[in-house]
Amino acid sequence: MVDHIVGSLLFLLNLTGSIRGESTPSAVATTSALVRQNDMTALEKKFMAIQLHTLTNMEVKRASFAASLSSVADEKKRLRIETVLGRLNEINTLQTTLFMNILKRLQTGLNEVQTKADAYGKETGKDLSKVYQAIDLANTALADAVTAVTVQAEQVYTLTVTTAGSVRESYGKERSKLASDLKKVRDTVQNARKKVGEALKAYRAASGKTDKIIVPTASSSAAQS
Amino acid sequence: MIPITVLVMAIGGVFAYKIYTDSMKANDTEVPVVKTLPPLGDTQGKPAKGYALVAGPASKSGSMLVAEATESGKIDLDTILGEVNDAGEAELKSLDAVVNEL
Repeated sequence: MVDHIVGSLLFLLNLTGSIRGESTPSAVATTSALVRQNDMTALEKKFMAIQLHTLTNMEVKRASFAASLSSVADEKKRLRIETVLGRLNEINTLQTTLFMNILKRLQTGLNEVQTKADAYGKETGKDLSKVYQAIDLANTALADAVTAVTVQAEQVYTLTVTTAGSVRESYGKERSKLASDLKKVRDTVQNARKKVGEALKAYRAASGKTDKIIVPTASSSAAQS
Repeated sequence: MIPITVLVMAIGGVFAYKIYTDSMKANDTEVPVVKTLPPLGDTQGKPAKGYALVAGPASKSGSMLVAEATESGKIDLDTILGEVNDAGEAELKSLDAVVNEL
């Protein structure tokens, strides 16, 4: 528990310098130079470090949980309960990884929108302040979503089994908690998605261009770097 | 007189037959032929499994299109913006079924 709290504090202290939240007073950017892009590579590194730390925590908890299952006489049942617990945490890991990948692609797409806006502004000399405002807001929403996903990646779900019959009750509570947590994170990702969509819409409205914004997938961008 | 008549008729018959078969050959190419592919058999004579290449348009499922987009290494931003996520609900439901059997 103490370890968990200390980990959360360290994480928050470490990120306050680079991530902007909704609470940050922000003068919204009106030019490309004022738009503050998120350093997604650094944020992803932190996310992965925290996910790795959580996996270690999970293994420790799983070992102590296995020892606490002595009240369940049937060995097959014990193994299945352990599998259920492992699967609960696995779903969290998979979903947070999925969310992080979506955010990375959205950030890449948003950066591409900014590049296109820059080129269009240079070519025509038009005022694109509304586009840059939308891009800046999308960057803030992406940063908020990354924070939410990273905090969620730190969560460990556990079952308390006192009697053979208490498994379902304990599972029900943890399952509801996980589902509720993931839905909250999904909503922040959805908000980021919406803001990126608004930035794209603003660029298209200002430029009159409807060309597609192509985003490289994770594998191809890894190959490029 | 009779052998000459028979000979003329025979020669006429040959020509008539040639004209008839030639006209049938022309019809063969004009009529579309529906070919049925034999099943893909294996050496042990078990029921065939697998896919055969056939001509014509092929429909693609959503997952095939996603796989194609991923394989190509590029994806359109509009597609990303339109994606929907169930926040792990489907996986949790399948886990519920496992717990119900405990």
